[in-house]
This record gives sequence, C-alpha cells and structure tokens, in this order.
Amino acid sequence: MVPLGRKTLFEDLPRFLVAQAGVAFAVGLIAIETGVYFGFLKSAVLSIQESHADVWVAARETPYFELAFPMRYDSLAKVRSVTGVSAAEALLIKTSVWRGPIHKLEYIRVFGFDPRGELWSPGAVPAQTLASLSAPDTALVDAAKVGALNIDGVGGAGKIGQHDVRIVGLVHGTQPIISATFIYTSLRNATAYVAPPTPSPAALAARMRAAMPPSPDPVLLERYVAVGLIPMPKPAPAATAKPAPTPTPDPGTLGPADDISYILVRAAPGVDLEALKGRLTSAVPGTRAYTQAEMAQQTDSYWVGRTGIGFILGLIAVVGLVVGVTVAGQILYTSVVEHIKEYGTLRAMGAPDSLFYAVVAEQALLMALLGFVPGIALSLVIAAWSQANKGILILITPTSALLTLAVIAAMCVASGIFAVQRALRVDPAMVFKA
Amino acid sequence: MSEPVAVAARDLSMTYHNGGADVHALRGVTLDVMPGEFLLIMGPSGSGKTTLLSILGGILTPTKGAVMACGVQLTSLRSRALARFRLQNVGFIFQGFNLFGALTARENVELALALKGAGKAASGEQALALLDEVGLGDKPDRKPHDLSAGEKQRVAIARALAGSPPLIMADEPTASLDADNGHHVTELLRSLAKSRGAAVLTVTHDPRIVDFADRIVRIEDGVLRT
Repeated sequence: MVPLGRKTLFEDLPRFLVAQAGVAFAVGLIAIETGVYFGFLKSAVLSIQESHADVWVAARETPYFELAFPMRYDSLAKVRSVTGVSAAEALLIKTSVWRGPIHKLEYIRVFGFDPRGELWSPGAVPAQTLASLSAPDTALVDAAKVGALNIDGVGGAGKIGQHDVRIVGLVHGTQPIISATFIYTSLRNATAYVAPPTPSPAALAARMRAAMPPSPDPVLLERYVAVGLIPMPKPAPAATAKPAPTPTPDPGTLGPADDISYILVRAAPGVDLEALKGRLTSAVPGTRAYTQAEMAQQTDSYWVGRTGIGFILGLIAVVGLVVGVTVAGQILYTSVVEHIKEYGTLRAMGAPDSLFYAVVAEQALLMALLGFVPGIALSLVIAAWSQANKGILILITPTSALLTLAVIAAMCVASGIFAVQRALRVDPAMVFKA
Repeated sequence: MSEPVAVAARDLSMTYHNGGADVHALRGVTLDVMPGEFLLIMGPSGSGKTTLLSILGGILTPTKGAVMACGVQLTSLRSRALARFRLQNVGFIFQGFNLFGALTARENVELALALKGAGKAASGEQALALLDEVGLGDKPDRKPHDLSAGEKQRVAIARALAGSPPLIMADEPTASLDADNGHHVTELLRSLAKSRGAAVLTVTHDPRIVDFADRIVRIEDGVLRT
C-alpha cells in the first residue's frame, strides 16, 4: 500500500516542522514537568538511598528525613551492642544559619557524619576531602549551592553559629530542590556549629549579677560555679582596655547526652532485618527502626501527602500532560481538516474505515516519534544544565523517557482517532464541489 | 435477449431539508444507461445533475425510488456496503481532479489499485500501464503540482480506470481545462467507454463535448428531459 499517511505528513515540510515543534514542545513539557516532580521526590530521599545502611534508627516522632527529632549520642553504643549489628554510625541533621562574607544569611541544614565511616557520606567524596573534615571549622557544600552561600567555591568561608567555617570541598548532586542548603561536616563539627551560643564568661557573670540581688550571696555564687551552671567569673576588664576577642569555641567531642538524629546500621550477613529492627527498638526505647526503603518511603509520603508541594508539582505534571495532549491533538486535527477533501475523495472511492484509521495512526505515530527525539533531547539538555547550575534535579531516566514516548504516542493516536472521526463523517458528495 | 443495463434508475426523488424548507433536488427521475455508453447529463447550475450522479454512483441514497447498478440494488445497501460497491464498480473523475498532492502520478493510481486488492508489484505495473494508456507513461513520478491541468485530469482518469470498473462517473471533467485539453480528455473518456465497455456518465454544461456523446439527457429543476 502506498504510504499515504507518511507522504501527506511530509508533503509540506515547513508546516510539518512547525507541527513537530509543537509535538516536541509537548514532549518537553511532559518530560520536564514530570521530571521536576520525580526529581523533587528523588532528591528528597537521595541521602537515604545512597547510604550503605540496612536499617535507620530514628526518634519515634521523626516525621521525615530532614526533620529529625534528637536522640542521645549514647544510643549509638547501645545499637552497636545489639546482636546482628555489623556496624553503626551516627548522623546529625540540624538547622542553622550561614552568614556569608557580606553578612548575607542563608538558611542551612548541617549534616554531621563520621568522615571515616562507611555507612553515609554526601555522595562520592574523595577520601582526602573527607579526611579534611576532621579538622575543626571545616565543611563541604554542594557545588550547586556555592552561590547561595555567597562564596566562590573551595576556600570560601562564612559563619555558622559562633564558628568561622571554611569550605574544604564540593560535592555534587546531593541538594534537594526545595530544602535549605545542605552543609556537610564531621559529627563533632556539626555538634559544635549548632550548639546554642555560649556567652563569654564576662557577659555571663554580668547577666548573673543583674539577676541576683544587689548583694549576691557569695556562697550561692560559688555553688553555681562549682556545679558548672556558670563559669568562673573573671575580673571585669578595665574600661579603657581593648575588649578581648571572642575565642572560637572548641568543637569538642560528643558527650553521651549530645544530640544525634539517626543511627545508621549495617546488618551482619544473613540477619533478618525485621527481627533486627525489633531488637534495635527494644535496645533504644523511644525509637523506630526503618529499612532503607521504608525510610525513603516515609519521606516520600511526607512530601506527597502532608505538604502541598507534592500536590502542586503533581498538578503541574498533569497540566503538562493535558497541554501536550491538546497541542498534539490540535496539530493532528488541523492536519486532517486541511486534507479533508482528500479524505472525502477516499470516501467517494469507497475506501474502508480501516484505511482512515491506518493513515491517521501512521501520521500520529510518526509525529510522536519524530517529535519525541528533539523534545527529549532538549529536555535532557535542560535537565543537565539545571542540575549543574541550579542544583535542581529534573529526573529523566530511560524508563521515564520511554514512558513519555508511550504517553505522547498514545495521545497522538488518541488525537488521531478523534480527528479521524472528522474524516469519517465527511460527506463523500463533497468531492463534487470544485 | 436484451442487453443488461449498466445502471437503471427508477422514479428517483431526492429532497434536502435546508433551513426548515424542503428542497427537491430530483423529482421522479427514471433513466437507463447501457454498458459502453458515453452519456452526458446536462443542465444549468442547481438543476440536480450532480445529485443524480451521486445517487447513480452509490454516494447518495435517494429519498425515494430505486437504483440498480451492475446488478446490485443500491437503494437497499447500507453505507459500508455502498462503499464496497463503489470501490469495486465505480471510478470517479472530478472537476477539481482531487489527486493526492503528496503522491506521484503513479502512486495516485497505485493507491486506487491497492484499495481494490491489487498486490504491491501488480499495482505498480498496472499503474504504469494505465498512465501509459492516458498518455502519461513518461511522467509517472511527477507529483500533481508538477503537472498541467490536462495532465492532472488524465491522471485522475487513469485512477478512475484502476481495476476496470464498469461505471465511470465524471463530474465536469473539462470545466478546468482549456479547449485543447478539454478535447483530449473527452476523446479519451469516449474511447475508454468504447474499448472497455464501461458506462461513462458525465455531468457537464460544457458544449464542447456534446458532439462526443452517445446520448444527452437534460435535467432542469430535478426533472429529467430527454
């Protein structure tokens, strides 16, 4: 059979190219908007999925990954003593503020982890870079967020809490779309960065004096100092003396009561994870244990179900789909209407309905395929640019690309079936009108 | 024994409803057309001649009356059966040619042959033979926009002849042609009617082709006047 559909489609090349641009736009719209949605969900759980932990232990109240309720650091030792635990590491996630070089503030989430550990790291980081986090006042940041911190890159510095923090390395592809900027450092550093500000001894003493009766009981004061409620007051500097610089607090080491957010567990080979989860929660009361998949699912569900973000991004993806269907449908329908006399001629000649469907289906599939190629290529370029420059993950996988092709092909064929009704309804007698 | 008629129309009436008013396009038309006959149907615009051609060709169903064509009672057929009848028995030629612009001359003819069930190889050979028959054997790969009006109409004739249908319905086949081309096309239609034994029914008001006709019927206000 003469390929009437294909030949008719390619007959007017400029018109065909314009139509293909429309289909490519529809493909791009679907690929990018669904990519943003799935990229958002993926980026929200990336830190979980890229960990090497089999089980995550978290405070029972923790609603999702970034909003972790605190546990005591000494829970780590309890976890390590549980049968079936091969390795366990602590992870701390706290919110803070980065003060950049020109005092521009950036809301951040500080991740504290064990740089020598094996269960969690912010992506693929060279060992040397990880080792540098053992030094105080150091941190890593995602390359996409360098601008947000108002620094130029490695070597850039800012203030977190009382600490002048220096960026010693960059990581890539770790930053969720809508979260605060992630800062990665050692557990010790993170604990120090997010510790409440410690007033200088002089300030503390002055505050205490103000709160005390005009003649403080020296015995009471001595007792406060003895139990560590207040540091030993120092003599107030002379009014003319230059004020002493505020010393950088020692990051110190984690004490048993220090906060951590998660305990990541690697199970010994062959251990039943469900049973292990039960033993872990028994060992550390007030906690819940999740497999990696459950942990990711919990965060996924939080964003999709408990915030409007999942809904909005999902809605945008649906809108993209509807617009795509409309564009492709209109193009095909217009194509049929423009060739209505030719369809009328086929009707007059006695062509069966199946020929009309075959012609339009051939056109629809060709339009879908030929519009898909540039559309998905452009989407991939935009996704790569977005990831590299804005840190926004637009997730276009081979599977999602094939699904986009299937959707665009289905909607082109559906539009074609709609359009072919116009051709099938044409009055064959119309062909006698010149 | 009398020769079987190609088309026999009895007491055909056709009424259109137009904006609440009834328009009687045909009123009690009775007509026989014999195989190999080159019949002209003439009449002024709006007289009902194209409606008559459409009914005789199985495109329209009359409001009243009966049509027997090629031994088939057309007025009892449903739309799909009518389409099958047209495909197997009728070749159409239109005033505006109605060629598929995206296809070459050969492909236009091949398409008609393929619709009638010819295989790919056979339809290619037959299409070339038909184009040769209408004098376009040297231009099979030209697209319609590369052909003159006369050549386009000859391609349309070759397409109408695909599958050797016993009925050829031509609607104003010379209206878009100059005198020379009109003459050639009419001559071609007449010779095809004779050589193939096909009944050629031609609607026209072109006086140039009157001399070629075996018979002329005139229609006015939906009434046939022989």
